[in-house]
Amino acid sequence: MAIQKSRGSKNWNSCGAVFFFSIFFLLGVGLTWFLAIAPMLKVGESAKWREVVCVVQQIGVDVHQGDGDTYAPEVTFAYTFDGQAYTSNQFWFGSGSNGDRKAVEKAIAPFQAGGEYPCYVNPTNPKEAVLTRQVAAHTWLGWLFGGIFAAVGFFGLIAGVRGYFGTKAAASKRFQTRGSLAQSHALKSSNRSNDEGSSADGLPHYDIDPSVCPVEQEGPDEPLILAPKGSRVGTAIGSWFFALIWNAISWTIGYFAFRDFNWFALVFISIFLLVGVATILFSIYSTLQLWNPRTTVVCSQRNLYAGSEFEISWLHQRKSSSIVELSIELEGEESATYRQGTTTRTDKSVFFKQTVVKTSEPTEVCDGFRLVCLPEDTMHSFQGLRNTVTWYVRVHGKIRFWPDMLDVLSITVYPPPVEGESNARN
Amino acid sequence: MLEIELDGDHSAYRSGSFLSGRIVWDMSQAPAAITACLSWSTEGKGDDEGDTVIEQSWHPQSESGTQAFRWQLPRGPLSLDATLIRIRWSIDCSTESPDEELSRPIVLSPRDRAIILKAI
Repeated sequence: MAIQKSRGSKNWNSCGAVFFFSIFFLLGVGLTWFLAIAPMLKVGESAKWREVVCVVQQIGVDVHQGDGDTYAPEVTFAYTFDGQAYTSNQFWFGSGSNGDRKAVEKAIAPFQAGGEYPCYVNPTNPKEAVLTRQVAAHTWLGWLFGGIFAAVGFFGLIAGVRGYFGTKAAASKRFQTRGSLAQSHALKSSNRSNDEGSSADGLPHYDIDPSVCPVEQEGPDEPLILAPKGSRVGTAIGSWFFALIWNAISWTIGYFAFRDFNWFALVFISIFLLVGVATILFSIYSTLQLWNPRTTVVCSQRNLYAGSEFEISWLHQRKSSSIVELSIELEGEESATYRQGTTTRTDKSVFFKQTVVKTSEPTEVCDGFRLVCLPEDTMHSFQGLRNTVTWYVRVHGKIRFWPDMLDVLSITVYPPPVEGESNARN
Repeated sequence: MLEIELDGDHSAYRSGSFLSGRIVWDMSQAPAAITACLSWSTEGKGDDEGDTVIEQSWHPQSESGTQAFRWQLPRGPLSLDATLIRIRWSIDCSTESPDEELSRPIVLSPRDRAIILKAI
């Protein structure tokens, strides 16, 4: 029962994410279209509109009262087109109002009630006319908020879709194995004339699921260059992307809170502004790490088991003289992901830690090797959907007046081989 | 009555070793089907997950009898007792019409117990 439930909940989480971020994306696209793109297209279209003289009957600032007042131009002008009299209330392209009163006052300043000014009439629909062929002052808000919503929605949607198909692929892989076993047993059963009381004529066994338990690759057991868990460039880009979105939203809200002297809102938003500053500092930190030396760590054998003795060697590709102290540790960690209310949490617990090397000797920092031994009584790597046991090598280089170098490199510890199999245990 | 009897006196089974035994039943009528499964599941802090790795069914003709089985165990995941995660193996047996269920835990480990991991 637990099996179905676990997979189901993961699928539902992915479906929920796809649904949630689809709304975000559509809202973002809608906002961008109505507040920014459509008015700008109208500006282009209005280049072909006919210019006529109009009389401004009334002009002022329309105040929309609420928590924070917003403002829009309020205008009525009369014009004649093809001998027919019309009136219009459209000052510029783009509807809605914004909190910037000064921008609205500046826009209407050249116009006076009773004055004659050129206005622009749509020849195919003379009822449509505009006093100035500009977009509304708050069009940038459409780009900003619409763009943020659309970007968050888009990336969330991609992650949700990838999560859904990733789960489906993992689940179908397991069920295929199960299905083929069940099929073979069904075949065997149908061949038996009477299955009651007969002994099992086959030896059902299970091919280990590589998505949960690692399986050795075929071929000789060769040295392995360990790959980092994440890329430095990815971390830097990801942190800048997050910082940009976070700060764009919080500083915009902060600006309006400050302008309106809304002290309660200002105190509240200041927490978010501080987090925004922290995200920028982290982005700068991770960007500077791009220039750190890169360590190549090689494991003397690819197939590692509990009790394996092997060699870890290291070499720096860039100038390693900047590293004042190098430490390499072998670590084993379990992690459990669980739902608590509406949030998903992951707890981690380190169960094994061994210092491979800790040195400030320049020649040893540059390159070297050490013999390492995995404990006899330990767990192999395990990659469940919500529960994992991982092994990795943590490389930490202390650098003076510069962000430290930190690379986390995954290693795979395989379950004990079956006696008699070709992959002999070390 | 539904029972799972295992051969030998194993406190734990090694990866890839053979697990043999028999299902014993004695019911008011012949069950339509008897199904035995070998599966692992997680317990602990994380959301539960697991997999059924072997499933075998029989269609007995009488209300009582025995059905032998012999399975080769997978290599992993090994039975585990850690701070956050526990991995358990079990043989689950069920009958259809009449419906009965039975579960018997086993340990898959190179030791005579589950692997124990403690936080440091």
